[in-house]
Amino acid sequence: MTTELIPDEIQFAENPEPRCPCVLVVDVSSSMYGRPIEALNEGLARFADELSDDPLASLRVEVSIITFGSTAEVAQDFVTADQFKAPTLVANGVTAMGAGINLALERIEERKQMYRENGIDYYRPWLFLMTDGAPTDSVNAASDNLKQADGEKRVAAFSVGVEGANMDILTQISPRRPLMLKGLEFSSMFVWLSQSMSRVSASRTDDEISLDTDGLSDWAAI
Amino acid sequence: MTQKLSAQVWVKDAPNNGTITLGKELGAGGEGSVYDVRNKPDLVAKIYHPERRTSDVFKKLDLMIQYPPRTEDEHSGHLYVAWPEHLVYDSADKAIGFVMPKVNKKNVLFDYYNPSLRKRNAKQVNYASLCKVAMNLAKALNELHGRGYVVGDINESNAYIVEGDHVTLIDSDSFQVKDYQTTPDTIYRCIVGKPEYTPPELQGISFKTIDRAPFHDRFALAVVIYQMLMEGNHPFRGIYQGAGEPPKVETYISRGYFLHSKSRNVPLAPAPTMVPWDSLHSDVKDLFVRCFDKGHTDPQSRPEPKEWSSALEQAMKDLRQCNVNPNHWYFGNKLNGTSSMGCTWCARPIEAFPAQHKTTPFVPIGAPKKPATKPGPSQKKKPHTGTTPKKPIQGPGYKFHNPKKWSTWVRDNIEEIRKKPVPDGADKTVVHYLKGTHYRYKLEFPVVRKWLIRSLGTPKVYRRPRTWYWESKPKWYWEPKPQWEVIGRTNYGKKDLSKVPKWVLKEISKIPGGSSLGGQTYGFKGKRYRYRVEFWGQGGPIMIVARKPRTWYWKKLTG
Repeated sequence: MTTELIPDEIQFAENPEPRCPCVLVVDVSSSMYGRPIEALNEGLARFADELSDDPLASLRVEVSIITFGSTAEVAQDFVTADQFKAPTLVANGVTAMGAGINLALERIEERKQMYRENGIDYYRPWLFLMTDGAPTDSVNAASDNLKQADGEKRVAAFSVGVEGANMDILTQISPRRPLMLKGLEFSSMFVWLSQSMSRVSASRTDDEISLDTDGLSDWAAI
Repeated sequence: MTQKLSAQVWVKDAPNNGTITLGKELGAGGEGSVYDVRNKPDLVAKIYHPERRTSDVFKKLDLMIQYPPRTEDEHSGHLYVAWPEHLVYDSADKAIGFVMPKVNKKNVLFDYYNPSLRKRNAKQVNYASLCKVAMNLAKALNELHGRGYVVGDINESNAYIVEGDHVTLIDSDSFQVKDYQTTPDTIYRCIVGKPEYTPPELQGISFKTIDRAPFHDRFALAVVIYQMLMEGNHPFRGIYQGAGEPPKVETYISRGYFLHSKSRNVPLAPAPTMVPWDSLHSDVKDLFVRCFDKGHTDPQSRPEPKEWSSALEQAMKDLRQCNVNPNHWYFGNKLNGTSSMGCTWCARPIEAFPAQHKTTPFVPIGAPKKPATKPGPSQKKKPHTGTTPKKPIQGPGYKFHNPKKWSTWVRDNIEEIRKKPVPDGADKTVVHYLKGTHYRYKLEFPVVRKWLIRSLGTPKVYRRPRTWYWESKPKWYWEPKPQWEVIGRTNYGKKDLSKVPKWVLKEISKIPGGSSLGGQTYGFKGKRYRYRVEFWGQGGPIMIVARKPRTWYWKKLTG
């Protein structure tokens, strides 16, 4: 929200590399207050660092952050990793997860439209959902949209439960089996995510999503 | 692990048959890691992970070491490719890796062609440099193809740009190598590649299962050259004109959807912010069309690397310098055969090549000078432990430089040097080197003794064109447009008008009002030069006399 707005035309002329969008859909309800949100913020900073270390990924990966508490908000509009500075998120409110998912899907479609208008090639966007609770709003429609988008290969959706998350509901919502975060290992998770994004952006515009399963055990309990 | 290795590895066939000590890890990948070699600083060692140390890997490396291509440029001595030189063994006499020359990387290819990276990592680059890099990449590839090697994995990161916009190919151990001594030939394949550089006939095929041919490399070469010349755009990417999700670049390539195709209906349109296709040199455009259009069905017809290098070399001769920003070089093609296109870069929505403020500004007399450039001969070319003796650099050597032709810059430097104390032990001559924009100077000062005091006398000056200058000048070096050159000035009573012709001084004395003027400029036309006299400051205490070759004279000089 605070980053400088660069007109899209300029942005794409300066950097016509294909884009690999990655949307983090993050739970900032009041249950995240304290240590969890701190760990999450540290993880985001680590994410920014790791991505900018890889010159090709820093031109190709575009990060966006959607937060959901009482409402869903855009905490970070799409920026390429070289310009991404991790925001400091604040925990507050209930868990409007459905709104968060819908907003993320909407923004992804808008962004893709922008790529298309500017002749920018893109990889399949990643949607990374993180929550430590259960949705307080209606999530059925959002879940259907998410599953449909994933099924049509318009996005690749992953979900991660933080301790306290209702994994049954999360399983119902997500197109893939959700992962459970070990403790508050957000940092390891973001290192893994940036490595995955680097790999995706460096090589193939494949349809298939290859999860780096080796690194998974660092942060996820399966 | 590094510690253990370092004491034990050794190079068998090296001149001193010696142990090498691995230093810092420079990078790690899926196959192994690359280390500094502590006792041989001009080499690096690549050590494979244990599971990658297969006999095939070392057979391939052995062949490469036995049959190297020409790895360096005969003039500049610069390396086209970082080629394996020796195998490295562990204490059990098992091969574990190899050593190769260390390349002093300045940039990788995409640092140059991506405008946003260029702003950060390669500010000095202009379009002429981009053309030169493209040409040098083609030259490097030409050497490899000439010896039957195929790179296979040409991409935006697999070549370093080194000093002077030269290109050095890296990752040579992934190249495809053919053993002609077996029947049939044994081919050690290149099993890697990126889809956006893969020709249509190989799209979707596993690289493990195919033998690559030079014309596959030629496709990738053309893609990289396109990216170099078109600000990082890809020849098979654009605005999709169909409905639904746009296909991937692999699909476009396999269908021959070249953005500027002449023979196919392509559902792609160039982005509005793209560099216009017509701003490219027509010979270069023809090669792209041949590679991507004709080459789609007839891969053999894709232009060879040497066609690219000669076309680019020719094209560079047609580069023009922009009047607004001297760092803008463009082709200025004819539009409809009559009027020519304006500066490509002035018309861009972004400033691709910001002006470099390199022109020497006026320095008032007595102002502190920047220290002279580092003395000493160039340290760049040190022979490294290889089996092939390095060729000496051939080029124009130092020639005596007539004192009458010394520039003020040379004179100033001489004065500075003479002010310094004479180094101990020097009894006959002291040699200093200077690096000018176009020449290197060698100054030989005689040591003059007067009683016990030693001082430096008037030097003999020799000069030679700088490497990049002589190397490129005969072929395509463009003369900079004539610039005003300050030849004399006065500054509050101090005068330095020795270089100003007498007739000009006479003309100046005729100026009504004379030295009481400020902020006025007068011009005189001489036979060869135009002269300009400027009066600065209240009452004109500062006068600057400058000259510039007249157009006809300039043409005679350069044409």
